[in-house]
Amino acid sequence: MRFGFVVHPLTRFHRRLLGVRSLDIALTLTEESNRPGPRRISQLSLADPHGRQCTGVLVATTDLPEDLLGDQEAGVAAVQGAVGLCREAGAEIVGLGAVAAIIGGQGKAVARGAPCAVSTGNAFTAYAAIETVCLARQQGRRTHPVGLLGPPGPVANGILRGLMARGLDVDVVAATPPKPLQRLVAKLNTSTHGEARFVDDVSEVTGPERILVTASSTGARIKLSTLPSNTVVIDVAAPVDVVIDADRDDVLLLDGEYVRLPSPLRGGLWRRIYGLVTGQSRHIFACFAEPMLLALAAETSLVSVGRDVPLDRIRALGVLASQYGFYVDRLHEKGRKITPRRLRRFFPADR
Amino acid sequence: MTHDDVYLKVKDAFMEALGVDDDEVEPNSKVFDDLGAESLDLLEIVYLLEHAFEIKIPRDGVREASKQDIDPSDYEVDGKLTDLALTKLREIMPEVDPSEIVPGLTANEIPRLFRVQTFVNIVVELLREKGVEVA
Repeated sequence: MRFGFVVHPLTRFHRRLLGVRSLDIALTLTEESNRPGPRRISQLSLADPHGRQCTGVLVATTDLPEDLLGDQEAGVAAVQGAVGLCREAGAEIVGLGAVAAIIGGQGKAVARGAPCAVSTGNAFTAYAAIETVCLARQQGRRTHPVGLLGPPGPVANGILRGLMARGLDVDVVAATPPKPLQRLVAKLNTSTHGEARFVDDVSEVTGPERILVTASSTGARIKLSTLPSNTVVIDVAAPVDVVIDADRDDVLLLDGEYVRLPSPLRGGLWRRIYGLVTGQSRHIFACFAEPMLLALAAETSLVSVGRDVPLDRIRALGVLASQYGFYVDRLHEKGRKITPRRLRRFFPADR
Repeated sequence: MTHDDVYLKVKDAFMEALGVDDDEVEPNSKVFDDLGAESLDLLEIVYLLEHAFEIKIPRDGVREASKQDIDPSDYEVDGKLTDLALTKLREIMPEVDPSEIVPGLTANEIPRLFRVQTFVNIVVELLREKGVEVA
């Protein structure tokens, strides 16, 4: 099965770059590169541990975030056009990136008119975040309840379900928790081995024994300058929740949604540039990896569409991930593998 | 079209977007605190209402309306809404108890005041602008 992934430019300059596949600078500056309509960016391919190949296509709309959000109906039509282009290229499962995954009811409107399965990747993002939390806790010492900022957002609710299902205690940051969230926490408190409670402020869940997970839907919820020294944050939000407004070597900001692919992702010039920018050859965001996993597994029923991120879907994706060689195998800080020295600083040996 | 017709369609939008039950949605339900919406849900609700009523709901419409006829320097001081802005907000959000629109409120906190009725009022106003009679 082939996969597709839909992206969009974040700035006008990005849009021009997307329009020029050769990345010729002179062409990039022309209006020609600014023309409307979805376009293919790159062919992608990877293989699972048994050598089974999977190929896909990366397609971009030319709409900026403000365009997609400003007129959602037109935005949904633009994303559907991009999904259609993926389908023309043979994709049977298409992932939606960034704002494309938000508009029209978090993928619901796009999915209704799409010629193939589409997914926001929310469940696999939640899976990657849960695995990252567990990996961080394995480093030692930070064993107090996990702080979680983000519920009732869909990914954050999924993380809450997953952490508590593993028997972890969670302090949910919500000064005035809405009733549906109160009901969810009450239900999880009786149906899992974990225990959750509400706390008013982030300051209650930071400290040398704690890990704070942030997964808001809007991003930009915390200023780095306000965090106490020795804080560890796993930031799952996109855009990120922790705003870098200060140089803080004494705070560890871990990325919350990187997964390791079963093989390097091949994708021509675009992939080489992506690799240079991110410094990664085999690690990508879970929402991007999800359609690859589903395509390798020839599985289109485990997609995420809408606000619900149920635990059984997170678990099912986890099972598929281990079968097809997708792992959360290490901690990343600002897109780079964290050094052992830095890890020891925040997770000192305690036994 | 009647107010009740509008309300029922608005209610449907909330039920679809938030997955809440029929008896949980009341005109006075607080969109965030009672129904558990978050900002992305507002996007979906707006999308569903635009579809249902064939209207365009302006982004940040309530905030922009509260700024009308107010000089920007008189709207906020140190991030807090001025008395002038609070008075305007009480005018344009009659569905909200005035005791909730108090000094110390910031522009970013305006959405937390939203009720289901807020969306009914917005839709009715936009329908009337379109020339649709709402009885």
